[in-house]
Amino acid sequence: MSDTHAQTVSYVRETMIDEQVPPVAEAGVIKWVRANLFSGWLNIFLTVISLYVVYLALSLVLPWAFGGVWNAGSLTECREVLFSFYKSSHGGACWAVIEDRWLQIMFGFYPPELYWRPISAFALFFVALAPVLFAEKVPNQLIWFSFAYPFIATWLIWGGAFWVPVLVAIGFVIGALVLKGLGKIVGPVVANLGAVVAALFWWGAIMGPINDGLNQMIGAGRLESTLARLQEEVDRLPREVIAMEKISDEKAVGIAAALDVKNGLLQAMLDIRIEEFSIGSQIEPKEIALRRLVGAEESLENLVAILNEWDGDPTPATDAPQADVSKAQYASDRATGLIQDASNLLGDAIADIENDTVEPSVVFTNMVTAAGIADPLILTDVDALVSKATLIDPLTVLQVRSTGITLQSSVDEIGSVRAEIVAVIVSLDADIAILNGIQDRIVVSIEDGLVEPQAALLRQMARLSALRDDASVVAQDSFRISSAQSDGRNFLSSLMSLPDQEASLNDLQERTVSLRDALPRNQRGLIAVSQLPADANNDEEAALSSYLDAKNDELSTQASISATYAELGSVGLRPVDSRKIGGFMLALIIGIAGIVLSLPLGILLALGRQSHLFIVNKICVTFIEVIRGVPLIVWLFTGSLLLNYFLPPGTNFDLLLRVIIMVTLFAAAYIAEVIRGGLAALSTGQYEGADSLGLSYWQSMQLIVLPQAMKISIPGIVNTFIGLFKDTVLVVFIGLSDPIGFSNLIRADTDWNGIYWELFVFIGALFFLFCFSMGRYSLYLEKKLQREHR
Amino acid sequence: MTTLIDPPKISFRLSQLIYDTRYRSITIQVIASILLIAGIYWLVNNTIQNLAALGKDFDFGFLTQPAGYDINQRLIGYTSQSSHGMAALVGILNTLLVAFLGCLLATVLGVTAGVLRLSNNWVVSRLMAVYVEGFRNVPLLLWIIAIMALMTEGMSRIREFRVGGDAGMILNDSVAVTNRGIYIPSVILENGFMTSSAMNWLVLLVILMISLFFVRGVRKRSDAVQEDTGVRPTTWYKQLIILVIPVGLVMVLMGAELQYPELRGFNFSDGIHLRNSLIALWLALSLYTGAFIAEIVRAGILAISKGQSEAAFALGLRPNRTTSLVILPQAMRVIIPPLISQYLNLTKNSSLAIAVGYMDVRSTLGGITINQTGRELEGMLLLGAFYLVLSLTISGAMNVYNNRTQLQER
Repeated sequence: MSDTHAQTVSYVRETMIDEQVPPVAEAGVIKWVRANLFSGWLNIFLTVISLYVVYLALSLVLPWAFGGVWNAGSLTECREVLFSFYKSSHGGACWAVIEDRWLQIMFGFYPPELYWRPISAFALFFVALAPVLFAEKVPNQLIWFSFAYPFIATWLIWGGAFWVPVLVAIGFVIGALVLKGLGKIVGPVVANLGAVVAALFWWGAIMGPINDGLNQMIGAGRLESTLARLQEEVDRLPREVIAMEKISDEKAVGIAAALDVKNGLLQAMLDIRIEEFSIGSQIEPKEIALRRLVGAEESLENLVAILNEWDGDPTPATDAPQADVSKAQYASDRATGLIQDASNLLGDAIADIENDTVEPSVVFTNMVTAAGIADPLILTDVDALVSKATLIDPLTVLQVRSTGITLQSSVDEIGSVRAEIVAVIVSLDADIAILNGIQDRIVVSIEDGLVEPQAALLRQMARLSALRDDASVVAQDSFRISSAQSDGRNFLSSLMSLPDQEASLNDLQERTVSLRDALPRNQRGLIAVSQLPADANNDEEAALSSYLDAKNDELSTQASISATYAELGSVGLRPVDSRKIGGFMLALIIGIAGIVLSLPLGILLALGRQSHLFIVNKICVTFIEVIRGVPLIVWLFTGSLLLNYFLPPGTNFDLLLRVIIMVTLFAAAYIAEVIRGGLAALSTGQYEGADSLGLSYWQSMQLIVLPQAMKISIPGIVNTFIGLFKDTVLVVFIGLSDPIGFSNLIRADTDWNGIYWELFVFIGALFFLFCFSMGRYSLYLEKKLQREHR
Repeated sequence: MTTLIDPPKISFRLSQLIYDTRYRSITIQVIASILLIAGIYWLVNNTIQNLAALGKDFDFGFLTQPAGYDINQRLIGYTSQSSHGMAALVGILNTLLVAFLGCLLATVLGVTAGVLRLSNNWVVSRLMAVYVEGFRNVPLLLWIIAIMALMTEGMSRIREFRVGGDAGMILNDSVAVTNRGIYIPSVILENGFMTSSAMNWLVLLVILMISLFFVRGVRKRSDAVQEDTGVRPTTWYKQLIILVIPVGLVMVLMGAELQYPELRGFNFSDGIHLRNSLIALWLALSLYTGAFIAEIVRAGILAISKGQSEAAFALGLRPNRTTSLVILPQAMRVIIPPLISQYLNLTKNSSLAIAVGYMDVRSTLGGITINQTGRELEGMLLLGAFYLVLSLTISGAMNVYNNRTQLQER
């Protein structure tokens, strides 16, 4: 044993060999490529296919996207410029439409001078979000700002008096106070009910009169000064309008001049491009003729082959064997056909050259201007080549000779015709080659010559679009002033009539009361004549209808008085109508409002669905399943068409608000299911543990269950939010102008009629940006909240 | 010696309804039901008042009145004289058609993309990631109208198909891709056994069903043989013969032949015309849902622990057998439930047909019928009920499947 060891030990290596450099194929990039891309026949196939797909997509998209035009006033202008640059009107994108309309796609018809309001609302959104998203990095007090944010944002976007959001917020504060106060006395169930009732009472009965009162108070104090100011404005504004119009006329003159310069440049370049095509039109008919000649030559060749093979009598004797006769018949048929073919093809070739070749003289004059200056030799070359006569004469002779060929013609005779055709083919081929060479030279000289005009054209178009922007600013100013003027006039007249209206209101009220008293008791609550019982007589009908008319009069007078006071007493930001909100701003408003409102509702629904209380459980299950079972678009139509049926008669509110309600309900049902998944994923030990600690239901939910369930549900919640944000585009179908609706509006403009891809790409890219970053954030959050395996 | 003393019996007091957890649930439920009934009463009462004010009644009689509008794509007989109910039925069939086609294509795309995204091949997996992220993060509506624009703006006009035009039919002159849609050949049965062509197709379907039944029999037999002997007999050719021969024979007997689309005048005739609206909706739905399905498939495959495939390799199974016998059966259990919910989403998303003018149930019943009769309440209720019933049916079927394939835990 030890002997063996002693013998072998001398073979034990004492120093290690230096590490060798791995073979080239087993290291670095090459190894990676081999292992990942070309490891088997399937992988090779997939790699090649994918690379081809990538190449195809990039070769289509990149030239289009990067060869686009950024400054143009309309699609036609865009196409002209593209044609003058790339010889094709569809070679590049017309990004000018984005340059022209991106503000609209972002903000809709929101007044441009007020853009700072939605922008600051959006920026504040992130401040409000900070305590929720990055809880450990920001001071705790910031959460109060998050609570106040919805009111601040609403006020910023819609404008109006600052006290309206404050009054609404007070409702929540009252609810919270009642909950806290009552909760100690009568327990949570009654306290919750009491809080809801108190808040509803505040919003329904007290808030409106307070608002009106504040408006009236401020309005009454301002009446005199406002009247004076309006009078002064109505006098002054027309003068300003006239001044603006003068400026705008001057701008128009400047634009027209710049447009002329641009059109001149463009026309020169277009002419050059058209000439380039004219040399092509010399070549094309010749190429076609060449193909026909080759065909004719082939026909004759086949004819010779048949004649050689079939070395018989064209008209075999009647007593010849049947097989010979039919063979002869077939051969002679084919031969006759071939002769006919050859003759026809020759005729077609002549016709091609005769009809389709552009007159040389026209081409000449054009080319002199375009390319001849740079390369005078072109002219002499073309001179010799474009003449028709040199080609048509021999062809005509050939055609005559080919018609002379019959089945009895000797092979030699046919051969000579063939040889002549071949000679013409060779010369035609040479001509085409020379023409192609000339075309290349012309193209080169034109491309060189076009660089400077192209740059000049781009400069001119940038200047033009700057001028246009200038003019549109002036036009907007002028529009604003003239609408301020007409608003001022209207407001002035309603202020003038205010005392009369206030005086007549009392009379109207008295009249309504007396008419109402005249009605039978059971009809006093009716709101329409059609609700009268069928046996009502004409007098009753007339009485009811005159009462309803009087009531309407009273209500409308009251509404107009309070509207006048609201305008007179308006404090704070200029109100903006919901109809003016559109584009991405609309999508963001609906999306964010839906997300913020649906989360608490979804949590409540999920808890309700988990609840052991039979009725609560069934209500929640029905609600969730019904909402989820029907597409959002049907809900949106329900919101716009049917919501008025379900609310008390005469209620009518903003379409945008209806959409937000429907979207919130819709998203809440989905969120409820996601959170239910999270709740179900928790082990029962968590629930039992909370119970054994003696926590009440809400305490255990708040402190133990929901934090864990929410953590599990985060990916699902974010996915629901992404889906909700994408679904906001569906509002286009009920008449709101979201980004896609705006793309339709832009296309309705004659300037941009027919533009698709640029808008789609822009809108799609913005949506992608939002949704993709939300998805990434959810991944980050998932990682951050993962406590188990670190 | 301890004596068991009964806990003091406290007589019921009213405050227990609030403070005692035993009774509180009853209080809450009673309050909830009162609120629910009050809410429903309020809504119904408002609706009745509003309907009365508008002079309308609540009546489904309009479903039997003549519709008076045409539907350009119909799977069953329909003219403008047919009733509104018939129009709704045509719309329902169109919805089901695009949903069915969409589910098929979306599954193919999704499974392909999901599997390829897990591939070791960097280029392929990146490409699939781009596809998935690109389609998932952009609204479906945008894809639908983009594909519609591609079809109407990007394809050749029909006049370009005339002799000497730039465009030509593809696939051996059998398919024409035009800006008005795609024309494909149709199969006609020249001398069928039955009078109507629908009946003939039904006969073929029945024969196919019978063949499938026999194929199942063959499979069961080979299963039994495998159980007995351990060797599975080769039966694929038997199955193929049973499946193909009877149907093929009957089709030949019926004189089946392909009818190619042909350009006559200003339009193609014969063959089947797939409208742009159908194609745009179908492709967009499939591509969009396919991206989601790809993620589901990927998650399903990743959910199978690596030990499973390693164990299969250790047993000497080849990679494709490992996939088909070990990975997929387990992954399916994870994949199927979300997959079905994607099918549901696709079906509901097919209501976006409005963007391209495809005549689905929302466009007929929920669109033109409502506009013509002014019955928005009834129409929307029926529309909602249709989608609800469809969703509940599919999710019910899903639950049955789930219960059948659930892991049998011991």
